[in-house]
Amino acid sequence: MQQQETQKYSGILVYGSHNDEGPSEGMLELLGEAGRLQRQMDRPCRVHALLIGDDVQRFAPELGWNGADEVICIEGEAYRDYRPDLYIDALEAAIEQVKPEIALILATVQGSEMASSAAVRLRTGLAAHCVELRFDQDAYVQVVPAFAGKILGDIYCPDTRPQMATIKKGMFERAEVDSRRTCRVRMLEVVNSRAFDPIRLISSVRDQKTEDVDIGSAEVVIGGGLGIGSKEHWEQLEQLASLFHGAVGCTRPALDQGWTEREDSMIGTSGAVIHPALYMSIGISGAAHHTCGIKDPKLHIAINRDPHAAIFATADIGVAEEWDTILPLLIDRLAQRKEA
Amino acid sequence: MFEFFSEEQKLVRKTIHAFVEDTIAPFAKQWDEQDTCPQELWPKMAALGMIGSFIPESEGGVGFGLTERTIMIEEIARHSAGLAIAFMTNDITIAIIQDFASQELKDLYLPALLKGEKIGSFAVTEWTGGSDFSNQSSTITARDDHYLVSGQKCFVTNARFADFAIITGVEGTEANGRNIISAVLVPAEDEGFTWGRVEHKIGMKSSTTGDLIMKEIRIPSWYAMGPAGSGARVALQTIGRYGRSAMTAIAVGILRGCYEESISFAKQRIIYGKPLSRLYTAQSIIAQNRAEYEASHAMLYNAVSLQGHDRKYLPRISSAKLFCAEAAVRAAKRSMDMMGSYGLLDEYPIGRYLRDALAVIPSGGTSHIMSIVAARDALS
Amino acid sequence: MKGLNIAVCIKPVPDPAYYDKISVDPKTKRLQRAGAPAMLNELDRYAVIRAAELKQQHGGSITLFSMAPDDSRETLLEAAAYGADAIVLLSDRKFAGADTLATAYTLSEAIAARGPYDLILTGNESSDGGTNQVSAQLGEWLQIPHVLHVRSIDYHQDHFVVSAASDHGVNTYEVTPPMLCGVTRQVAQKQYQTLRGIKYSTRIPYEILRAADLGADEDRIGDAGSPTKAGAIYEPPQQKEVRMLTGTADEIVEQLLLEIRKAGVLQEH
Repeated sequence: MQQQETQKYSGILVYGSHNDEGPSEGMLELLGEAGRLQRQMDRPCRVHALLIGDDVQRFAPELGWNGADEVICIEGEAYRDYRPDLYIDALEAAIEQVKPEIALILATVQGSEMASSAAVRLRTGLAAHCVELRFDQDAYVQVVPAFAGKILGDIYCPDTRPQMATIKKGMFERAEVDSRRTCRVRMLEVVNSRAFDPIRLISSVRDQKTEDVDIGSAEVVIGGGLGIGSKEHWEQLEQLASLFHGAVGCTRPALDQGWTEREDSMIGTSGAVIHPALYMSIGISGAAHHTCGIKDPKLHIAINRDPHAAIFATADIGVAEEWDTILPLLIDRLAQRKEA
Repeated sequence: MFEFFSEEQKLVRKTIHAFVEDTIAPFAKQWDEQDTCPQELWPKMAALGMIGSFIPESEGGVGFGLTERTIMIEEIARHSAGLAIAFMTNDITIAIIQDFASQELKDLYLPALLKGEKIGSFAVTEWTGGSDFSNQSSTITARDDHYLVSGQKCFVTNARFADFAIITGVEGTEANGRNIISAVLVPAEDEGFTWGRVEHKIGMKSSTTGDLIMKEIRIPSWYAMGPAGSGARVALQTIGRYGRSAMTAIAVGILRGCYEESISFAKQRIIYGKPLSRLYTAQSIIAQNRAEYEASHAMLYNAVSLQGHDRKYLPRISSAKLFCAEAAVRAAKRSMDMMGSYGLLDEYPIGRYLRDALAVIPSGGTSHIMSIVAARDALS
Repeated sequence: MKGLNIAVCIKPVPDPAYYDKISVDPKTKRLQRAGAPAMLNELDRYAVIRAAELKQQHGGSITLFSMAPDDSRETLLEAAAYGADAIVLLSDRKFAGADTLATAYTLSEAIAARGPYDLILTGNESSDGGTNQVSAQLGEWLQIPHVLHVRSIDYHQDHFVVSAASDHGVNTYEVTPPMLCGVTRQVAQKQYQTLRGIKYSTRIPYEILRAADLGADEDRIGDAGSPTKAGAIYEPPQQKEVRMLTGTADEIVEQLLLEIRKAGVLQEH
C-alpha cells in the first residue's frame, strides 16, 4: 500500500441522497454525526456536505442548519437520474477537491456503489455499514458489523486518506436544527474524463410509495415473519399497523413467500434499519439477519409460539402463543378505543 | 455411517436434500392424511434427473449408479417414505424396460418416463402371495402377432394413476409341468385394463396400492419383456437389484427421521424444569437411535457398493434389509416411548414414521424371506 | 455469433443458520465459528443461475472465480453444477487479511489473466461480511462499467439491457460489453442443480492459482494491499431481560395494552 501524506487532508465530507423536496433524513443524520466527530477533534475541522443532482443548490441552506460548514454542489441535467459512472466521477472529484480526512457516505443503493468505486480510484479504505465512529486517542475507529451484526469489529485506516465509511440510515441522530447557521456554497464542475461511455440510461421509474409510512422513520412498526403463514393472514398486520398509523415490516423469508411485495419493508441485513418507539415482531424466529435491523426500540413485543425462539432474546415483552390467538383480540381492543 | 462417498455423490445428497426440504418435507404430513400420492412431483423430479437416473446419458438418463439412486431414495424417505416407494416402483419399471424391452417399446416409453410424463407400475403379486412366484394364475397367451393378457394382480404400487403396468403371468407349461412365466407391458388405456379396489394401508400412505384386473387385453408381441420364460428374471433380478436396495434405503430414511426427531423433541421439551435431553433415559434412546441409524447406513451403502456382483450383493442387501427394516420399527417405537403422550399426537411425525416402518417389512421381501436368503448364503 | 463469455465470482460463506454459534473467545479475542459449515453465498447462486440461462440462450462459456481456502472445492462444485465450464480458485496465504480493496484487486488480476469476458457477474453482497463493496470495486479495478443491485439482465445483439434498483426506484441501462453486474435475487428464479450438472461439475477444469501464478503486485494483495486494518472484535452488548406474558388470551392482550400505553404510542382521546 502506498502511503499518502495524510496531514494534507482535513475536514469531513458527507454525502447522502435527496429527493425533490430536500435532503434525506439519512443525510441529516450523517451531518449530526459529523458534527459530533468535529467537536471531538483537537484540530480545525470543517464539515463539507456534498449534493449531486439537478437543481440541488436550493437545498444548501437546510444542510447548513443541520451542521454543514460548506456545501459543495455538483449540478446539471445529466445528474437528474442516477448513472453510476457520472455519480462516481462526481464523488471522486469532490473528494479530490476537498481532501477530507474523513468521508461519511449514506449506505443507500447508490451511495454504497459510489463509495466503493471512489475508494478504488483513491486507493483508500472503506468501512461498510458502520454502527459507531469514534476517536481512540488520536486514531479514528470505525466500528463495522459482521455475520449480520453478531460480531462487531474495529476498523482503522492508518495510512491512507480519506478514511471512508458507509452508514445506513437510522444509525445516528441528527443535530438540533439551527436556522441561524449559514454555510458557504461552492459549485464544482466535473470533467467526466473517466465516465464509461457505454452506459446509457434508457428509463428511470420512481416508486410510488409516498403515501405509505416510511418504515425507517415509523414510530410503530409491526414486523411479520414466516410464522404468519399466508397472504390472507398478512392483512391482519396491515390492520394492526394502521391502528397506530405505523408501518408493516417483514423478514426475508416472508418476502420470499410473496406475502408482501414491499421489498423496501424488509428489516435487517440488505434491508432497512428501524428505530421505532414500539416494535411488535410476530411469527419471527429472530435470526441475526433480521434482528440487526432493529435499533433501540423503546418497547419490543415479540409473539412467537416457540418459547425458545431467538427473537425473545432481543425483546422486552414476550408472548409464547400462536399469534392468531392474540392479534385479533388486540386489534379488536384497539379498534374499540378508536371508536370510543 | 458409510463415509466413502465420492465428491459427486456428496453433491447429489446435498442437492436432493435441499429439494426434499423445500418440496416434500412441508407436505408429507398432508399427503399421508389424505392418503394420496403427489403425482404432480414427477415432472419436477424428472427435471432434476432423479427419475431413471441409472439410464445412460446417451439414452436420456444421467448414467448414475445404484449408490446415487439409493442416496436419493434415502433423502426422499427421510420425510416421505410413501413417496419414496412410489418413486422406486416407477424406477423399477424403467429398469425393466431398459434391460428387457424391444427397441421399439423403449422408444415408445423411455423418453416420456424420463420426463416424468408417464408413471409406471409393476404387478407381480397375486392373492397366492408374492414369494410363491411360479404359482401365478394370470395368463399371457401368445397369438400370431399379439398376446391376450388376463388375470388379477394385487398390492400394485402406483395403482389408479399409472400409465401402464408391467405384469408377469403364465405363458405355458414346460415339459416337466412347470409354468413358463413371462412378463409384458400392458398400457392402462387398453381395453380390458381396469384398476380394482384401492387398499387403505396403515403406512406408506403417500403411495397408492390397489388391484389390477385384466380381461383379454390385446397387446402387440413386441410388448414382451424378453423371450418367453423371462418373467422370473425380470421380476427377481430387478427386485433384487433395484427394489431391495430401495426398500432398505427407505428404512434408513425413516431411521434418520426417528433419530433427528428424537433429538429435536428432547431439546425442546421441558420437563422438571429442564430440557428432556438432560435426562439419561432420553440420552440412552437417542444413543440407540444413533447407533442403529449409523449401522444401517453403513450396511446399506456397503452392500450397494457391491452392485454388479450379484453373488456378493444379494445376501448383503438381504441382510441389510432385514436389519434396517426391523431397526426402523424399533427406533420409531423407542422414540415414541421417549415422547410420552406427545408421541401419540399427529402433530409429531413419529407416529407416521412407525406406520411407515411397519410397511417397509412386507415390501420387497419380508424379514422372513430376507432371513432365508441371508442364511442360505451363510450356510452354503 | 461467438456467444457470451461470462465470469462469475462466487464466495463460500459460513451457513447463516449457524450464526447463533459464532462468538468471540473472551480470552484470545479471536473469532470462534463453532464448526459452521461453508455454503455458497446465496446471491452468488442467483448469479450462476442467470449466467447459465444466458449461456443457454446465446451460447458461450462460464468460468467461476473464487478467492477462498483450498478446502472450498465442494462449494465451488455446487455452483459449477448449474452449468459452468471451468473453475479458477485463488488460494494463497499471501491473500490472507485482504480487505475489499485487495480482494477486488486480486480477483481482477485473475479475471484479466483468464479473460477477456463479455460479462462479469457477482452476487450483490455476501451474507457474512455484507459490505456490498467488492462488486463495484472489482469493476473499478477492471476499468469496466458496473451496475449494482441488478434485477434483470438480458443481452441483445451487441449490448446488455440491465435493470437495477436506484435510491428512488428502478433504472434501466443499455451497456456495451464488457460490463459487471452485482445481482439480486430478482435476476433469476431459484433452481436446484440437475444431476447431470453435478456430474459435469466434477469433470470440468479446476485450476488453483497462487499469488506467484498471478504475477500480481505484492503491495496490493492480502494484508499489505489493504488500507483498512482490523482491530478488536467483540460481540455487541445486548441480551435484554425479556418478560414473558402468561395467562388467557384476554389477560395477555390486557397486559399488552398496558405496555403499549406506557410506551406512549397510543393517541389518547
